[in-house]
Amino acid sequence: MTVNVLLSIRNLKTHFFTEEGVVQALDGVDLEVYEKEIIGLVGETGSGKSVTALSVMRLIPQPGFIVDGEIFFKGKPLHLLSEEQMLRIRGKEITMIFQDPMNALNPVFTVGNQIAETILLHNDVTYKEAFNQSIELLRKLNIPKPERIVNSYPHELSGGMRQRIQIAIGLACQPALLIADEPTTALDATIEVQVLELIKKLRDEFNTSIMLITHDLGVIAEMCDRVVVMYAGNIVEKTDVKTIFKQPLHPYTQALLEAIPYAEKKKKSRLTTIPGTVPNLINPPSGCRFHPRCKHAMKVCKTLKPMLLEEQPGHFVSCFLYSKNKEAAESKGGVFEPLPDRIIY
Amino acid sequence: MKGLYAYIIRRLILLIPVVLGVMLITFILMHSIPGNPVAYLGGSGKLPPEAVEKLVKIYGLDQPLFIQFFLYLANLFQGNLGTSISVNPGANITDLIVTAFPHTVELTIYSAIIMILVGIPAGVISAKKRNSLTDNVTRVGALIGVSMPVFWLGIMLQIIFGVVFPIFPILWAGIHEPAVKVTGIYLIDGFISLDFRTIVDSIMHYALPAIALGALSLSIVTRMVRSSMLEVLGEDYIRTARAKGCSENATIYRHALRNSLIPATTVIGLQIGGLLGGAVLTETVFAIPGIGRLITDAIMRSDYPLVMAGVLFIAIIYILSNLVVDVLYAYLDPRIRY
Repeated sequence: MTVNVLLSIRNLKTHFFTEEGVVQALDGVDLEVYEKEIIGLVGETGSGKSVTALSVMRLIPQPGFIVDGEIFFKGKPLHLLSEEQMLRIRGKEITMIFQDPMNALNPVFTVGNQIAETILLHNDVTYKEAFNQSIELLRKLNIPKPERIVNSYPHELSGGMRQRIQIAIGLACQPALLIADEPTTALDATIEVQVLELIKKLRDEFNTSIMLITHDLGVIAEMCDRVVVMYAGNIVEKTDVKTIFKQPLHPYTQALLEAIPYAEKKKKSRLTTIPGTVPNLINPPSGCRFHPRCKHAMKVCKTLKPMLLEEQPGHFVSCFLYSKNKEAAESKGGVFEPLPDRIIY
Repeated sequence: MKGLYAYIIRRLILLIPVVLGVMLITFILMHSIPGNPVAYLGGSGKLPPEAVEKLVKIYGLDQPLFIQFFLYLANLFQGNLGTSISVNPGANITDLIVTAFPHTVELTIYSAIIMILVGIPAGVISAKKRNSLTDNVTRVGALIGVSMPVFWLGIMLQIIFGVVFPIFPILWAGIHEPAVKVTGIYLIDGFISLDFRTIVDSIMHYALPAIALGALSLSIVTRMVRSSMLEVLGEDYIRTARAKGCSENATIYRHALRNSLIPATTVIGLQIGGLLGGAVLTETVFAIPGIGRLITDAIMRSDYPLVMAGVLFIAIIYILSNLVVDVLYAYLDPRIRY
């Protein structure tokens, strides 16, 4: 695989300034997307996966702002670009498809019109050419009867078909990066497989890098080359897909994997869950944000914030259980004793 | 499209029971008000008792109520609305309505222009710049517009722009008569006969009443467009549009506007329907002989046939404007099919 970095995010902090207080949705996110790879972002609801994606697109809804950090795309600093410069990147270089295909398409325009619009926005073509290109695009995506489909309105199509149309819109200008925010969550299982197959095919045919956001570890295992595990606005673990399933290091990742139900498990065993809930990000826990729910929590976890360090080659973990963070913490006087008075069960 | 025509025909057929119901209720209401039209005429002492008796016979007022009602319906279905008792005794009611209605239509045209051309952009801009100074000014303005009584605003406009700064005429009367009178609407007749003076006269004479009358509808439309625009701007497909690379203006005017006009169309349609039914207060303040004044005068004088005809006419206009709204809906929103 090539090792050219397409997108690199450094210490990204996105906060929402609500009336209740500042929601620290992203608290220093570091990640990179290589060319032609599928990278998975996984985590619970509220862990900051979508906010990361929207920050890259610079489409964070009010009252959210990128307060710190850098985003480089093909060497261009996205966090410094003007709104006009961003317009030329959105939809052309980086595109995004969204979770709910029912609402993601404009109900009053035909789908052909909506695909053609993207082509028209970024290419010097006439509307008719753009419209014909969108028929061609649908044909490439193996959508049956593209001539008929382009003249349909979104409400006339099924959920899976609408999601394919969204993908077509996303690919209309052959972007370098496609961000798919839970693209199959709203679809049923058979359609999900088809849509995922389609996304996978695109990487091979269009050489597009794909950032796949999901909370389904099965989708990750099926699709991704590398995985980023997020928790409460932080990246807790980052490695390739095989390692994450064979040798997860962070206690949160381990807990996530234990929570997957297996058909062959004994019937009477109860479903494993992670105790507690995702913390309130207005007043996040001090130190490691996972410590209140972690079974290995130590005093140091409450006082110091672990860093995302390469504990094993290509395997980044942010946890004091591992040597590099441990060394760093010891030099700062962290205390490695179990936390007393913990009632989490 | 075929379904649309069938739908329109179905709706037109539905007009019949609605009209019958309206007629019955109006009839009962009119006759439960004490006094009758002949008493009004006779009470003034201008008519000798024999004449009153004769009139009672002519108008069938001595018959039982249900017979009067069926007689009325029988006449109605022969296209005969009857003759007025009070306003201009013996005048054909159809003629009275045909004379009065164009003035109401003309007033409605001007008010609707104000409502649509000011209300929609104001709502859009207000939503676009939410919580800014512009938005707050628009919102307060709309609130004032909704709360202000029409007659008070009319009188204030007369005082300010008719008396203190005599720019506009205070009353309706005195519009230059165009050479060709086809519609009875001065503005349109002015254009037909290419009479510049009539056009200017029409605009000058209708400016104040249209502002007074339009202020309320304008405010309602502004508030409606603003709120539906804000709702639409929060939809997922707006985010999709932005993710495509649409600029802020393209997002708002191409993707959001048409969607947010769907609920606003209802309000605009009903407002126009209401305006066409006659704006009694405005017509009174500015002495416009429109349909609203015709009917209120008739009610004051217990002029049964004129009231019945007027209410019937307004009901039909209202239902038709509702129908137009429904047809527009299908055009604006492809999800709606009839």
